[in-house]
Amino acid sequence: MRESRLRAATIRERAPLAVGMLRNYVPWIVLVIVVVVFSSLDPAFLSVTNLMSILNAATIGGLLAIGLTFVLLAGGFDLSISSIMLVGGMIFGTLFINLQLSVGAAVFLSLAATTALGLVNGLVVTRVKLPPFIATFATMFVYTGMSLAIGKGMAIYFIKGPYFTFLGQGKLGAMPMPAVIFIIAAIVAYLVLRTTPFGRAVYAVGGNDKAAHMSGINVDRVRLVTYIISGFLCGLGALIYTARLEVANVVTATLAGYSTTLLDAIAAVMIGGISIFGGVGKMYGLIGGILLVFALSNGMGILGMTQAYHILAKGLLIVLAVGMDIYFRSGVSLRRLLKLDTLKK
Amino acid sequence: MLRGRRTLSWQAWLAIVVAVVALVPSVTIEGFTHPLTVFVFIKAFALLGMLAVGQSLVMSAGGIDLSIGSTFGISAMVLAMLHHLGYSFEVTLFAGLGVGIAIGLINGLLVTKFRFMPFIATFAMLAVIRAGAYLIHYVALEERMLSVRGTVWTYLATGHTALWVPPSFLILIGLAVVVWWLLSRTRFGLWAFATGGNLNAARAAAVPVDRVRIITYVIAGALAAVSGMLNAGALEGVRPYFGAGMELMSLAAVIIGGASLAGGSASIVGTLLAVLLFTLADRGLAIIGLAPHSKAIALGLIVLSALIVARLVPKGAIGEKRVLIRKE
Amino acid sequence: MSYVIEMQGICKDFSDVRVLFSVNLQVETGTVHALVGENGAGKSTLCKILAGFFPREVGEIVVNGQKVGKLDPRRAVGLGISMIYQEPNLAPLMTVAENIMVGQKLDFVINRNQLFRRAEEILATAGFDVNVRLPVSHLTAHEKQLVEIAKAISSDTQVLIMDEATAALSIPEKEHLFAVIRKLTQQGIAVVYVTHILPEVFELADWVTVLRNGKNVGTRKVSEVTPEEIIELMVGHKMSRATVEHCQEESEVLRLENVSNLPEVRGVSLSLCQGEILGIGGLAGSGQRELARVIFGVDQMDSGEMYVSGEKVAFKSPSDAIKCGIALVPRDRKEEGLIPQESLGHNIAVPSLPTLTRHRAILDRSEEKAMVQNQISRLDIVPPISSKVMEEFSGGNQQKAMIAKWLATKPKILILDEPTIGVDIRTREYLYGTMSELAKEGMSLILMSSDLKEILRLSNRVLLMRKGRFVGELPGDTAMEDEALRIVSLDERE
Repeated sequence: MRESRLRAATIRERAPLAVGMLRNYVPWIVLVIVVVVFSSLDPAFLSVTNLMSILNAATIGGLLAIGLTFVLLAGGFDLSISSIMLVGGMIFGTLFINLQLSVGAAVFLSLAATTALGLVNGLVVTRVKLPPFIATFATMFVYTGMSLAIGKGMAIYFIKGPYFTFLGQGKLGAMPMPAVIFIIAAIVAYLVLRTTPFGRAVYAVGGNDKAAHMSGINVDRVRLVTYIISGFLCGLGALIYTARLEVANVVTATLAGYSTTLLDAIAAVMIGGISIFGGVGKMYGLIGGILLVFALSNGMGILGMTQAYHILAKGLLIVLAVGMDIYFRSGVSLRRLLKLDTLKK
Repeated sequence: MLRGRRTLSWQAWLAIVVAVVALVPSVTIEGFTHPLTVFVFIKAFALLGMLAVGQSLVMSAGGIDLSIGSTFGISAMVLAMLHHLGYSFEVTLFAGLGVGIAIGLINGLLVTKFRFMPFIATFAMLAVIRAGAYLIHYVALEERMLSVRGTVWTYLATGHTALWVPPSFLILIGLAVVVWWLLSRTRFGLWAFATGGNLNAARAAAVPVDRVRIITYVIAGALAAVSGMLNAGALEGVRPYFGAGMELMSLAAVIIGGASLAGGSASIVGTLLAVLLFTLADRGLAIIGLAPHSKAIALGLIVLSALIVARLVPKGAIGEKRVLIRKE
Repeated sequence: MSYVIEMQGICKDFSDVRVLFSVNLQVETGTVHALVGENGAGKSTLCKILAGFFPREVGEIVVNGQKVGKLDPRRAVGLGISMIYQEPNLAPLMTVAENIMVGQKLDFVINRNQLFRRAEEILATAGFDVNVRLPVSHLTAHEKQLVEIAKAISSDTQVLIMDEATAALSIPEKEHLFAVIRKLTQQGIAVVYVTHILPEVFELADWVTVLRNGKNVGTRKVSEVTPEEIIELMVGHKMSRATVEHCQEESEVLRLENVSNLPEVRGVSLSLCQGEILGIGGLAGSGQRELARVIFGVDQMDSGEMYVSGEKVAFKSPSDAIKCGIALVPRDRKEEGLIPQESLGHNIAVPSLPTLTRHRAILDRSEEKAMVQNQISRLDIVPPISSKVMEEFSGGNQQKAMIAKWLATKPKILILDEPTIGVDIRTREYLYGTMSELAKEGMSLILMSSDLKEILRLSNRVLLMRKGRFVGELPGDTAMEDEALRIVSLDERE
């Protein structure tokens, strides 16, 4: 340029602590608090068996949460994730038990099916341009119905197979297999988001889809792929669930008429710092969110708290998360953070 | 008679569709026109209808209310609680209304004074209110599943009147007429549509936008509460999960009824037609003996396709005669 | 001879940029007072302050001899000041009658027929006839305008402010509007008429005030002034003439032949040579933005042909254009350029993602880092922290980042749409220097701007645009500013 500037040396890679980054730490902080509180109320909370149980529960919901994260990051929403999971389980059960297909074939086909359902979601959102909330609300109904139809309203029991059951109940060293799979999925998701052009495109599309389009990104295709990923992960979650409990369920546990699995995934994602508006959120925040939600459930269960408190807690988590989201996005600087501020739109 | 309509004949088309959906099963399915079936159907229609009418009002002013399903549920819990403490019908009525109004007030304040987005504010309330319902169930009622059968509410929800419809239906029609009148024959309605259509223009025209919006949420809350209590009267035991999902159904009904997602336009007639459509579909499928799963698929498909159609049909598609400007 | 409105000593700052310097304006009752000036002179800002849209910090507003306190849109309407914006401020799904009557005093119960009748009465006194039962969305732009005028009249307006009212009108509609305005003045209503089309001033106005760079440089009676005098006031110096020199054909990188995207772009033909800076100037709303979008593939052309380096192209999306070596820095960086919550480095890297990808799947992070650092230092983005979130940078640095992001794709043709909007002076100068250097290095630039001075200074050659067409061509010489202004303001063609 005009003068030779040796600025390269002064360009820093690390940003100073930005307020926005807090959103990824909040779940961990709350997690620590929760763990401390629960373990002081009942030391059994910290026992190895209990911790393993938390991890097991977290796996399935966690896989769904990872898929939901991709969708949310690109600016969408998916209410149908637990329903897709049901379909996946049902298809596997039917193929493996009733039709006597091999484990490999059944696994492959059920994953293909859930991925296809994710694709349908993506098409309705990107081609028909229905708002994601409404679109996936409708598909949620349809998929739930599908899962009931496949099994004629009945669950499928005694699902056991040599390699398959290992997937759900075996251990790799000290780690239960589900946790291993979850960790692998989380790592892969992290790598995709951080090191691939697709990952960048996801953040770009969620952050400002017009700008992304004007920068040469195919916005619709990116969104479509996030729904496909979500569908796939729901299928994976279904397989682990089925492998662990040896049953393919027709309906997930419900709370207040809504599926717990769905609620847990949403709570985990949002308290994990993933913005409902899109374009913001990191994997390490998400992991914290997942662990928090399931540790909370577990702890409340140990203490014998009834359903009401479960919903209250999760509802409050979601409200806190959304409030945090709006607050962080309103662009407060560190200085203003310390002063009281009414939550703006 | 139709209000701020998208196209002149949107509701007309809807009416035709509903007529078809009503006729086909009547002719082909045994027992569809059996008085008992019709009665059950009307009961369900009345309940969802009340919620949808409230939602129409809120949406006309540019808002959205996702909490009415939870209000529906908590009012039932409050009713059960008070009933078993021995209070009379009047007390429970006022208490329930009070709950609905209070919730609506909070919603309205969150949106106007605290500038929350309506979607987010009412979504949060949905969770909080539902938790409240569960709290009542576990704490105050100690998990008993109380019944309010045999009260005035039961009569209102399921009784037979001379016209062969339950009083709840008449209440719904009455309330719908009142809301319709409010929207199309009073300045309040004008203000509501102005607020929904262009908030800034409404403000500049000295419309009390905050007051208007709060009132819409209050009315929606009250309607949801009444509907919830009627529902409680009709069933055996009151459970805390009543109403879950109904807010989304009411939303779909309002949209399919011809309202604009952005606000500024809503049709009571259209909304009720859409509710009719859903209820017909639901009942019809149940009669056929479709197991819950197929019913769910079918219902979901109907809602989905209706929404897609509502989305894709261009506004103002049907040509209207336009008078050009005549120079003076 | 009384003034219905007096604005005294009005000053206004936006952040640390002053846009109005002690402006005085006096409007007589029942007259049309035109407000003219180049883009950015402050006309719109002054009007919005009068209408209560912007808070007034320094200065007084006097209405009918009474000083006015704090003003907001509602209070302004109450005082008799109404403004009609370029975007109609009506509720689209409600009928005309409802839109008009909303501002009126109403009883609780309203009778629909009465509503329609009263609305018709109001429209009649205003002197025109629009079907009051139609939803506003069915009206043309002109009809909506009339409804807004009627609405204003019905709320006892004394002063009607109209900002670029004829932008979307056809000639007969324009004539009709002028007739309406004349009738209004007969009824004693004053009209403040903002325009940049000088013929309209002479057709319609009684008085004209010229703003230049935020100052009132002169108020004249229209019957006592010539167009040239007005232009001189707008520009600040005397007129001059000159000729254009064209570039050589052999190094043509882009050619457009009769490209149209109705209604904003009408039959545009141009030719761009390598290393040339081509300016496309014109006042706001002339179609420059739409032209840029067509060239870049964001919008598709209805007719015409485009050639890049001699080869015919038809872009269906921006990524097609990017592959051909074209880049567009859009004018609205908040809406179309930035990803606000992403870091500087990520923003810069976005268009280059395909080239940074190895084995079809993984990003080459070290190459990306090098590229980003290179761009940051080249454009002197401050602070040079590539992980700092985009929205925390100042406007000037954000704009630099936008340019950096496209420079990283090594384009052959760089289109810049209003690159210096909202940018401080230092950065502006820096960008000017950058653009010159890029051209010297062989890049071809298309510069779109409504700032005639700026574009004449930077470009080799300037094409002037008005209502979607090219209406003139000038050499890139700042002495041509008045000539440019004349061409864009006085052009009579439709």
